[in-house]
Amino acid sequence: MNINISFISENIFHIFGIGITNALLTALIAFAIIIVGTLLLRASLNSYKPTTGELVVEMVYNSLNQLAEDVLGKVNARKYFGFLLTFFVFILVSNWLELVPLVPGVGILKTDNAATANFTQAKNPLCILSLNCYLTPSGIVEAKAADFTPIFRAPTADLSSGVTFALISVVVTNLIGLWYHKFGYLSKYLNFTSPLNFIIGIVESISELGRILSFSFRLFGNIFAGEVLLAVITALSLGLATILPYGLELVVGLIQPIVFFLLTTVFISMAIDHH
Amino acid sequence: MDYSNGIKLIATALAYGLGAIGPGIGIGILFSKAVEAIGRNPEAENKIRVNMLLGFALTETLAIFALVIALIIRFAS
Repeated sequence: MNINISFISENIFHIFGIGITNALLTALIAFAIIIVGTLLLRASLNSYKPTTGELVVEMVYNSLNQLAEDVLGKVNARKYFGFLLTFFVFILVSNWLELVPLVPGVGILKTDNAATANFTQAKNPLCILSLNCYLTPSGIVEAKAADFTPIFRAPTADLSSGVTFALISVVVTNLIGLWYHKFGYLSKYLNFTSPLNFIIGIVESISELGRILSFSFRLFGNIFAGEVLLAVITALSLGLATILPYGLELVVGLIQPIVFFLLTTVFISMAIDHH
Repeated sequence: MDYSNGIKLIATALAYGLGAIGPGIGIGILFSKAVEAIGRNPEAENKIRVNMLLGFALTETLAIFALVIALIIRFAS
């Protein structure tokens, strides 16, 4: 099978020596979608005749607000809901961007070796169905998947974004705990009152690090495995059976932000109710 | 003879195959208890559903770890 699967997002081009990867490009598109969508929604808000989009957004907002209030209590939920909802919206849009039809398909054929810069034209145009050739502006050429770089890739399918979200979540949770307990919070990790409490403190700090790992790998693993599954099943069945993993990815892409939201809320409430 | 490619393929398959047994059983137990609890007390469905999704995500993470290791063995080594 001539499929291109790579863990690490490939660089598309370089600006000032920094490589811009395809996941970064798609993340910028996710930003644009969120900003434009929010502005359009705001311009069409109407209490007397709500549009469908407004009703959907209100439903999502209300259910998440209810969740946060159940865990945190009304006052704290009001304070931290903006932070939590941002995670939800961005991860949701990033996850669902892998399902847009041409996301892994459109790309750049490039080689590093100038001697093989001329790809051979394909003899039989139907070889596109067997995925051995690619459609270029200059005809159908035969190329291997290793030479193909997709331009777009789901932002959460890159481990960097998962680690970023995890770090932000864990650091902000600890800062909230510090804000509330003002240095008494450090007694959660370094507790010298008794040997048992000291060991419990060390276990707590290890579990914080484990949280970062589990947050990032949960997001990355779900979405990357979804991309691989979609690619493999599309290649094996010529695109006919793709609807089955597509449904699974829709559901998984919806559950993951909810889980991130819930877990961050629970950890914030655990940091606030420390003693 | 160089068997390293064959061993990598076997390792990929084993890594995920054995790693999905535990979370599979765990998720089955979780959902069965959640459905039973909803059947006993249909009014508490919202609270039960919230905790069920939380538990599901935490146990599925273990299966995802196994999948990531399988993919690392196959594609990046």
